[in-house]
Amino acid sequence: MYGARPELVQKNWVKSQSDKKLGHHLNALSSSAKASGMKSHEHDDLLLDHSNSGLMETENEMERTWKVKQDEIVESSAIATASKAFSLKLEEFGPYAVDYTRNGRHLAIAGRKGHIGTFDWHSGRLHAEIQLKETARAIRWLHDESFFAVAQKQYVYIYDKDGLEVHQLRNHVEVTQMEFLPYHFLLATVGNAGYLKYQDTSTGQLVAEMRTKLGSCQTMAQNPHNAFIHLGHQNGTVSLWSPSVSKPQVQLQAHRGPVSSIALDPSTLGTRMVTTGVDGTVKVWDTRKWAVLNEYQFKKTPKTAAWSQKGLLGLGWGNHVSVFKDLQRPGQNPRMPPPPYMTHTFPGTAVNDMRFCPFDDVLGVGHGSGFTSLIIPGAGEANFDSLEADPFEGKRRRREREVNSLLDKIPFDMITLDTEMVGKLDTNVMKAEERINPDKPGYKETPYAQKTRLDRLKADGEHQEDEEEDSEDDEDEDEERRKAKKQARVEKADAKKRARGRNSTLKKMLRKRRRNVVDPQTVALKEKLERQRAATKIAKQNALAQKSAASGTAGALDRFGFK
Amino acid sequence: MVRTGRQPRTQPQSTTTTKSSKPSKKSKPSTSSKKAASAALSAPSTGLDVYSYAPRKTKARGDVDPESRASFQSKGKGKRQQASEDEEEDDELMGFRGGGIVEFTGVKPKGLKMGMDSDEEFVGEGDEDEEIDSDEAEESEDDFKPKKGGKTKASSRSNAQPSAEIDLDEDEIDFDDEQGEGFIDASEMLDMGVYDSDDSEIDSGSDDGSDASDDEEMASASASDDDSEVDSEYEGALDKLGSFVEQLESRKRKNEGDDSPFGDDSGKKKKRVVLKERTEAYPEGEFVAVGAHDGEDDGKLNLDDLLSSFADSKNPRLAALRKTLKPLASSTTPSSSTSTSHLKSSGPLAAPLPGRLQDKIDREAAYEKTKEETDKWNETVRRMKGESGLGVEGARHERLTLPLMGGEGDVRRAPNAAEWSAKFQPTNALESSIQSLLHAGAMSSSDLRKAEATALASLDPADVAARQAELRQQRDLMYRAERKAKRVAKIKSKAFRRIHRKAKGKEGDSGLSLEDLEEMDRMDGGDRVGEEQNRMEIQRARERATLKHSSKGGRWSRTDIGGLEGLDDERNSAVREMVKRNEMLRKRIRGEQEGEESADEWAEGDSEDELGEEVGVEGIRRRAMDELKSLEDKEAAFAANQPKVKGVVGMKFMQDAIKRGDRKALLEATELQERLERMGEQAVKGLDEEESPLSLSEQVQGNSGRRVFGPSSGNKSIATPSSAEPASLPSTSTTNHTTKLNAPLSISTRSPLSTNATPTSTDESNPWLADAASASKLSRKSNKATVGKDSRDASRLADKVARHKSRQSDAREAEQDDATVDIDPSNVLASAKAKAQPQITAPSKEKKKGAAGPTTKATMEEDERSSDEDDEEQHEAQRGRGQLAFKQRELVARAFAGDNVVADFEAEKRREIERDAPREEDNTLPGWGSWGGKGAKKSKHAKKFITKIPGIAPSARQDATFTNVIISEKKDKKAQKYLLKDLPFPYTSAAQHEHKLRTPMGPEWSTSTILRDQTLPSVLIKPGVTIRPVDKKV
Repeated sequence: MYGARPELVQKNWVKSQSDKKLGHHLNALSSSAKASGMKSHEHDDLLLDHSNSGLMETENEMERTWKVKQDEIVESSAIATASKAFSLKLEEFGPYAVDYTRNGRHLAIAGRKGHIGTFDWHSGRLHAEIQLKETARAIRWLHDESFFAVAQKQYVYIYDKDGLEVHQLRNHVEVTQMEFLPYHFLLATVGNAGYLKYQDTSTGQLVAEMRTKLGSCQTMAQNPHNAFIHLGHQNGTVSLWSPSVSKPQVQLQAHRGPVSSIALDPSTLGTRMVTTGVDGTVKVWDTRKWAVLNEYQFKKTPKTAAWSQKGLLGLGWGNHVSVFKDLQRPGQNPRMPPPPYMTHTFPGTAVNDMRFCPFDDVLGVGHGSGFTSLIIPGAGEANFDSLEADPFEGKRRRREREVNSLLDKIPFDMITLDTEMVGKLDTNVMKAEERINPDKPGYKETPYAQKTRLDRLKADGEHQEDEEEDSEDDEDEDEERRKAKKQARVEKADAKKRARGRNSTLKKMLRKRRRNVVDPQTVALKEKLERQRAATKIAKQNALAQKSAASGTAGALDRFGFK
Repeated sequence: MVRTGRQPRTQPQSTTTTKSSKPSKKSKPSTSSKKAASAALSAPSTGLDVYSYAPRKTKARGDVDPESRASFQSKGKGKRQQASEDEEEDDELMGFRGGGIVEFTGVKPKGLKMGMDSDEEFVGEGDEDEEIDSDEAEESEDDFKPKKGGKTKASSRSNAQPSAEIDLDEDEIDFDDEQGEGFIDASEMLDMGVYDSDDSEIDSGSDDGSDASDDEEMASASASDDDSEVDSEYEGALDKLGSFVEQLESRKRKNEGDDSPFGDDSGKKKKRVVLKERTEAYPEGEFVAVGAHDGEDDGKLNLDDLLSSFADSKNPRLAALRKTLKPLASSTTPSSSTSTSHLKSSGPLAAPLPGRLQDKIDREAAYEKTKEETDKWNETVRRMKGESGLGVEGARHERLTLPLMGGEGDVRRAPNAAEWSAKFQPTNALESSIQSLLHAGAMSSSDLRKAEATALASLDPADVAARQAELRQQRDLMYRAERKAKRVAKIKSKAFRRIHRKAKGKEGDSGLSLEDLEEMDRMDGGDRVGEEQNRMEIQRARERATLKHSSKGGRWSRTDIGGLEGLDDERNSAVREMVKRNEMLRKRIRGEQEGEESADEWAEGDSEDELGEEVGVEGIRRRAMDELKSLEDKEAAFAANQPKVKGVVGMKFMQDAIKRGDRKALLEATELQERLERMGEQAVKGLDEEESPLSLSEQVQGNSGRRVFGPSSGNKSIATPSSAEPASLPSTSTTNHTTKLNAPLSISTRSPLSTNATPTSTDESNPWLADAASASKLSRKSNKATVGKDSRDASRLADKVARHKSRQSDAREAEQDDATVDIDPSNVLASAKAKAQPQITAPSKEKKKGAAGPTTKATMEEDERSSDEDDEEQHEAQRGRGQLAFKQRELVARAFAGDNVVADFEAEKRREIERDAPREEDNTLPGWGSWGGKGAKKSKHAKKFITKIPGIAPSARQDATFTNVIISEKKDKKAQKYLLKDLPFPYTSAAQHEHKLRTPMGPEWSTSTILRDQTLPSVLIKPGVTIRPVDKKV
């Protein structure tokens, strides 16, 4: 039985011990959180093997991992792994776009010239293969393998698993790129018109439609952590969008030329972003402080980029695919890319699109002459969360998950930059409250002119009705009348104050006490009053005497009058 | 006031003179008593005749025998009253009822009253007769005129009539003046112990009158005593007076019937009337306690009667009892002692408190009571919470497990082996057979114990003792090192604790001086100084509030203390404490520290040792050293005569282990010694610094082995290596070793220079280092450089180099070059100068290249690109494919020529900033509500239509520090609904609330055990177990 030990309680939240119970509660929270963290780490350490990350390693310094060819890997690996490396030669239907389902089990490819194919690639079973006979620019799986969306020449279409057209999304015109936000059931598209549109695939509603005002957009990526859509534009900017705000939350001048591709690192919760420019530069960004972590110059424009679950960066440039492992390592020249972890070359065909297969050491590359599945050791996460994405799920599990995920669907307006926003305190409300509440530090008094009439009267200390008219018909009155009125008001206030001034607090207190009650305090008060009177009298006399002495009118003996 | 000194002088005579003068006086009043009375009555009519009248009266008074006189005097203020009583009693006895004078008396009291007044003053302040007399004279004249005519006035005068006797006193005063008779010192009166300070009785003549009437009614014992005396003394001279008094009496009775309103006097009189005449001192009956020895007792037994028996006893126990009973007694005495005071003491009844206040008081009382009751549970609760205060099971602080773990009878603890064996009962065949076997073989635990005892008993006691001694010795040997280490640790901890405590005691609670606190404040902007000062103020105020330091405090200090001898122990100690405290405070005001206190502290902290004569840190240190040394000595002695051991201890591995332990202990001891020594050195150093400010050495970083000499040692510049210390040379080389090229160089060139002792500090740039850096950076191009420029040129170039260096970040180039460069140490400087040139030409070239580029962009861009190009070129050149790459870049640059994306972005950002900035909008409709045209004034309501939009200042923006990022400040209105408007209940700040949010509870975020822990109910009840109520006396 595990219990939070006392030494875990490090942070004392309530310093002043004003509320013991709260202090206990917070300390319990701290200790619980800490214990939870420790326990889960222990748990992970126990269950998950961290000793071998699955990466390829060299035996001596002279060896280079990037020199290892796919054939050699296939040769030296087990049959199950070797079967994952395959190639589809589809030369006539042009460069292919690629997508994997979230569990990595299913693959969809779309040739530019309308060839669509979906597979259960593990078992090699074909779900559907259709020829659209029109341009297909992008293909995306929806929440699972039962539906997929294809961005075609004019509209976006949704097909079911068997390749049957289910929906035609007429709102999405000339779409070039698509992303699916699995937790929100949102299909985000952007196209030549430069409109970013969100379609809810569970309800069918068009949730949001935003104009980027930056022309045709060819590049799109989603942040798996906060579900923001990153768009790369022709002028080299990258903009971040959420469906609830009509303007980009962040705009980043990433490149000086058009942005050719964007990818976000799922291993770092989307804090690492890579952008490639048409001018051949590749920049790795930290999305928290928007600073360039690394910057490389390629000889050819990287067409596509992808991060693996374990943080390997794949770049497709020209007919090459390079996978980088260690981006931090400084090259001989700062702008020279580091030596890749692995490379592959497709002779004669340019790379068009690529994706790392989740939970597998596989990189799927769509290129001009088909699709190739490359084995990249150590690319995929070995341990899957079957509640999240289970590569081996059966029919029933799939159904259950679908229902569960629909029930757990997150409203689109929860997409914010601050992922922990929900349940926090509204700072604006707090501020407003502080402004109203005179006890709070942010209190700001409303200017006199902005106060209501009642408040103004209260501020003046005269809460009466007879002043009503002068504020009303001020403007019509001539100067003199107003002056007279003001004078009268001043006099009145003066008189009142004088009357008030007659009263000393002592007298008031005495008056308040009942006359017939004789208790020590009353007696004391009376005595005090007497003393005060005597003192004032003496003071007056003194003053008088002094005055007379000063003026010289005093008699000879008056100097002894001082007391 | 003039005569204040006189009383003591006259006083001693008083008793003697009265005696001597007695016989002569005795005769006079007897002969002319009536005359004198009449003369006395007529005296005031002549105004200032008081003096002339006085002697006669004295004669009349002089008859009183000394004892009675003394007793009169001793009554103090009450004396006059007594006198009047005497007179009246006299009258009664004599049966005088004189008539004719009554009309006359209308004048007489005037003078009498004056006399009375003077008498009062006399008693109070000593003797003031002359002044008083003159006053009286005036007053009498004033008063006389109006009173002469009216009879009513005369009657009112008659109220004051009894003070005729006081007039006699007046005479007596005069007599005293002449003869020094009839007065006793106030202190003497005090000594007599019957001083009655009740002023109320002699307030006015009317009081006297009332007293007289009282006395008339009640025949008290004391009065009767006086009676007899007076009886014997007064013969015939007082007859007249007596009749006069009688007359007054009758008059008074009339007045009583009249009910004439005469202010207080009459009111009091009225009350008297109600009393009925009594024939007995107290009502007789079986329940009446007979103890009435004072006159006004009405037969009730009160506490004073009981207390009086031991009032004078010296028994301390009785004194204590007296003290405890004092409040009771005092409450009873005033009512019993005087007849009139009960009127004063019980004035108007105090009004009951307002209900609210009463309730509050009741509540407070109830709270106290309840608290008392509930506090009885504290111990139980504390025990249940356990040591940590968090609960029996630590983290389960908010959980209660029933039945309670600590509760008696509910404990489910498994018994230990001994308990098991003691209670063991065989339950099955196997167990019983085994037990029987054990019994048979005498192997049960009790049998074994017995066997051991018998074995021991059979041995020779001397043998046993020897064996035990041997065992002890072996044990000693084995744990010797351990013990020594423990001892050393103890010495160490003691010493350091003492020093620490000393430091703490010096500087109040926080242990820091105000300066230190100020320093800390400056660091983080706190207000420690203020707090500390406040604390000290409060402390001081508290100390002062006790008043124990000043003579104002305490009841005893108000009285005049001649010295400490006369006081009893309690007072004595209190006085001593006061003086001590006062002295302490004074010291503190002067800013001194009390050394004796610290000495005390030392003594109490270390009772086993003798009191340390030197109490400073030095003393502590020395003592610790001594202790250490003694320990060492003991060890050495032990080692010297260590006997040869045998057995297990003698084996090699044991010996080795012992040696190892010894080494360790020795190490610790030496370490402690070192530290103590260092401390001593520091102390010495401190002394040195104090004594000779010019001392030129300083320790470096508390290391006793390192000292720094020279002028720079005074200020805190660190680690100036000096020629005097060769040990510091390696350190300089270590600082330089990062540039491996320089290490030999610095040593070789330094040795001649070091005699100058140029003070260098680490933050100062080392010229050698700088040279090396620049040299290494430029060295590659130095081969090409032309040498032989004049020095001026060189310096100019060097300047430029520096500027360029600051502008350009060439660290990586330097790094690259480091590998390839080799340098001749002899011409470092020359090469540095010479190599500057090509470095400067490089950027100019770059600039040219940038200018030649196809686009005209922002300078930033240009710079970046130029540097990029530079790098690119180098890189390509290295790889040998530069030409191609260059062409490509050119192509790319050309492709995007005119794409002013950066400028556009900046403009966009500017727009965004402007859009979000706070601004004012003018919503005035021109011409609406005001006149337009030339000379038209601006409407005074123009302000009304300006709306202020509170935006975000450019500096407050999230992207204020970024150049290439625009972060929108637009609010996400749709997300507002997920935010809380109010802070949830138990939390007092947003941070606390967010802490709660960050601690999710659920199977997704934590392991099952943690989840179970988190979701465990606060009260756990074990099923199937009786839960008994908690007994608070568990």
